[in-house]
This record gives sequence, C-alpha cells and structure tokens, in this order.
Amino acid sequence: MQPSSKEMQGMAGGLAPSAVAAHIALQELQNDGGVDHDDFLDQMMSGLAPAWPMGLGGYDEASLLGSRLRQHQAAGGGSPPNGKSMLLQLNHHHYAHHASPQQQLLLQSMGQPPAGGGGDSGGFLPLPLSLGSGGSGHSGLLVDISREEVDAPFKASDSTKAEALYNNGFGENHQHFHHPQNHRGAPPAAAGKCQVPAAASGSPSTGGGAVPPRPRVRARRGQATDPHSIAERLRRERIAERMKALQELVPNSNKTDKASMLDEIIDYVKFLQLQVKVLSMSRLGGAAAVAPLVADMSSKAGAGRGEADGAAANDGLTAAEHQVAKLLEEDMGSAMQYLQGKGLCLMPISLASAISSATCHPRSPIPGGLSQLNRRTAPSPHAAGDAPSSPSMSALTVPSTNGGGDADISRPSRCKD
Amino acid sequence: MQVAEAFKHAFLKQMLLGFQASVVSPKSMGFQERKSAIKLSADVAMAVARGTRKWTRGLIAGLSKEHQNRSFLQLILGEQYERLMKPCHSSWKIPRCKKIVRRSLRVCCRRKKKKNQVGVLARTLVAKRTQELKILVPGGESMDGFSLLDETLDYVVSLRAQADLMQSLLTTIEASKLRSHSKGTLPERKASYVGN
Repeated sequence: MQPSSKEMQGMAGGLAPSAVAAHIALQELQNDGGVDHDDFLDQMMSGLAPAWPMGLGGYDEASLLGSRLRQHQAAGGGSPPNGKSMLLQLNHHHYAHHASPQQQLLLQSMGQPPAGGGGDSGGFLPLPLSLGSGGSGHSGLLVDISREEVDAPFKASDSTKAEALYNNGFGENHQHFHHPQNHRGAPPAAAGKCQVPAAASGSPSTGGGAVPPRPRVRARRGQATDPHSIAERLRRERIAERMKALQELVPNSNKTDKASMLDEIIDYVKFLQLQVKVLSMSRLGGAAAVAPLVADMSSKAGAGRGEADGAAANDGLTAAEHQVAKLLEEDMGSAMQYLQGKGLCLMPISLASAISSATCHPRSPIPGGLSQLNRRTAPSPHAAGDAPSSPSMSALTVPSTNGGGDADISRPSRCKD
Repeated sequence: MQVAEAFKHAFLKQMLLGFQASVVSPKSMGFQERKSAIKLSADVAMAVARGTRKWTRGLIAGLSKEHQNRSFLQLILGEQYERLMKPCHSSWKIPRCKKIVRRSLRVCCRRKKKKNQVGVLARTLVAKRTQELKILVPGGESMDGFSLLDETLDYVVSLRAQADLMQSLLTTIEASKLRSHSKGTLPERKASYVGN
C-alpha cells in the first residue's frame, strides 16, 4: 500500500490534499476498529451517500467522497483539521437530517464526540436533502440505496457527477466495496418494481392532490388518471432520465432535444468504437513485451510498479515513470478526456502510423513525416491550454508500430513537457 | 466514473490472456491479422470484465458468428462460452411489450384527439436514430427503447474505459521498450546517480 499512496501523493497534484485526506481517513477508519471493515465502511458510506442527490448505481464510494471533499474545499469551507474529523462532521451533518440508528452507532463506535455538526453546517456545502423516504430505514448496503434513488425524476442524473468523478476518481487510489454488478442488477429490478407502486399511487395522488407517498410520481391535476397514461408518463420520465445521463457522458454536448441528443450519442459511440479499432491497429502486442506485463498483472502490479519506478528514476525520464505508475491506477482518464474533448489529437497520429505501416514496411521508421505530425498536432493541445502530458502521450502512439525510430522521435516531444 | 478498479484489473488481465492465447506477435502475423486479433482480445476482455449484461451477450454472440473466432472464444471463456451461447429467451417477450405500448399510445392519442404533425415528425426522427443506435450497440435489436438507452449508457462507459486502458497499456509497453533500449547505458547512469 505504501508505494501506491506515495505515488498518489506525488502525482495527484491539485487533487491530492482532499483525495489523500479521504484516503488517509479511510485507512484510519480501517485501522481503527475491530469492526469488520467492509461492513463498517459500508455503513459509513451508506450514511454519507443518501445525503447526496446522486444516483449511486455502480459508483465508487471513495471517489464520491473524494470528489465531495474536494468540492467542499473548493467552496472555501475551510480546511478541516484532518480528513477523519471532516468525515465525522459530514456524517453528523447527515445524522442531523436523518437520525438513523445506524449513524448513531457509527458515531459511537468511532469513539469521538460529535463535533457540533449543527453549528458547523455553515461551513459545509449545503448538502441537499436526499429523498426523505430514501434515507430512513435503510440497511447498510449500497444496493438498497441505489434501488430507491435510481428512478427519482427530479434528482440529477446518474452521471451528473460522472465527469467530475472521472477526472477526480481516476487520480485516487480508491477502494471498492461493491462489485459494479450489484448496482447494475439493481436498476433493472427497480425499473420493474416502480411500475407497480406508481400505478397504485397514481390515482389517489391525482385525485386528492395530496403529497404522493413516493416522490417518483408527481401529482398533476387535470391529467387523466387511467393507468395507461400514467405508465406512459413514467416511461417517458425514465427515458428522459436516461437521455440526460447519456448526455452527461458525451463531452461537449449542449443539445436538449431528443433527436439531436441521440445523434450525438450515436456519433460518440462510433467515435469510441473507431478509437478502439485504431488503438488495436497501432499496438505492438509482442509476446516479449507482454510477458513482463503478465507478471505485473498477476502480482497486482504492486511489486512490479515499485521496481519499475526505481528503474525509471535512474533514467531520469519522469514521463515514463508517470506512465508506468499510471498503468493500472489512474489519470489516463483525464488525459483521455482532454484528447476526446479535442476529438482529433489522438486519431490523426495513430491513423497516420497505421496508414504508414500499412503502406510501407512495418519496421521502417519514418522519422521525418511522423515528427512533423508530432510538431503540428502537439501545439494544438497546448493552445487549448491543458495538460502538458497529453502531447507526449499522443506522440508516443506514433512510434509504436516502428521498431527503431522510437527513441529519436519521442525524446524531443518529451522535452516539451 | 462508474468504472471500478476491479473492471480495470479484470480487463487488463483478460486482454493479456487473450494475447497469449492468440499468440500475437508482429513476426508471425500480418497487419490485418494482428489488428483483428488484438481487437478480438480487447472486445472479449471488455465483455468478460463487465460481467453479464445484454450488450455483453450480444457482443460475444456477434463475435462468435465468425468461425475463426470460435476456437479463441472457447479457449478464453471455457465453460462460460457454452452458457452464453444458449439462446436468449428475453428476446421473445419484447415484441409483445412493444405492441402493448403502441396500443396504449394509440388509445391515448385517440382520446386526446391531437393531430400533431410536428410530433409525428419528431417521432420519426427519433425512431430513425433509435434504429441506428440499435445497430451500433451490440445485441441492440432485441431491446426496447428504455433498455436500449440503459445498455447504451453502460456500453459507452465500458468503451471509454476500454480505450483508456488500451491507451495506457500501449504507453506502458512503449515505456518499457524505451527502457530496454537504454538498458545498455543503465549501469553508468546508476553509478552517476548514486554518486550524486
């Protein structure tokens, strides 16, 4: 665990303080009690999670926590003394809203006095109230929460925070408490379930205009009360919610009507498929290169990464060090985000290499043409003013199909960093 | 993102297993062969790492339609392959549900008595695009509108993760190659580093 936290601190840069605090907090929590770790952390996360208006299907709790802490710090809520007390305070803040017995247990078991959560609430992000029905009476499992909250129409979509998480979460060494399959299993079950109570609660709510028992179905006066239209409305709302989630996924999307959103989604899927195709073209899947990596995979790359770092440090090429350390963990996400935002940074180079290797002999390096491409496309990410590591990464895809010219081509581009 | 660490690990492991199984090497294979072998490994790895979803089944079913892929798939998936190749029963239920939905739609429209030309046009556009999306997403033909969007969401997330992981794998291989290039000069550099 040690090398990973060191790297994380070294590399996560601006994300480090809160992310590391969260990580340290989690580790402290783990070291703290004789409580069973997973259950304890589950309860912890379940206590924190309903306070956030997000769908938690398939989410990584620690990255959620990290992003929330980061936002909290960004909002200028004052630096917490340590991550642990902040977690405590967050939990207590939530406790003030929900008063679930489990959170009481949590606070007691953590063995620290609740640090005046009410008074400190001014320093926090205004954590919006979750669905009232969703919070209380829960078991500690995240699956229940996702089942309750996944279909709420007025809640922000699943992937509202997805982009933020994608940028932040990939920069952290987060821990995973649930297999994502659990969450994927929950929404279809919820989709099947919510039809039945909606039909039942639809008529009394529209008839009397009273507060519906489940916030999912809104009481609208003047609408027909027959089950067909209610089912239709529910179906439309669910579809709209999914469309919003997809819209959040697609970068640089600002369309709101269904047809153009579908258009963008289609284009994005095509782009990703093409990207995978191009990556498989430009990859050198040699057995010799793969074998050491297999050893890395099997050992979860813990030892392998440490050794690779040592070797790389001797080289003095920090970019290589970064790349090796990033293999299994993080931060390709943010680099790829930038590349995808441009849309074209990665592709032309790889396509060029693919075309060149397809037309010419695969082994013959073409330093002149390729380095020209490097120089031409490399300034554009710089002009957009973002991560300096992206040119080196996109440039590195070029020499992949060429045998000998690697060192010459990639070193000048790395010097730009 | 919704991509968990477990997915990343599983994907990378599967992919490397796939490389070994298909014996990918630049010497023995041509360019197209290598590309399709790598893509096959990557797709199978993505499907396996994600677990059981409609699109993963569709993806593996689509891949197994090619005869040359079958031995590879059997090798990689083992007994899972036989289980996955059983016909999907859910595909029969869906057309019935669509009929019911359409009927209820007609009933509602008749009741409201609206002749919405713009609505019809919009619906046609959406239908056309939905059809296109069904072609793109693997296994998409047998899904209704809502589950199609759901599967698309999942599929996009997995695709993005697949591209990222392949990219990072690529750069790592590159870095290791460069290191092996400069291995000859490594002892001197080490000495100088220690000296400083």
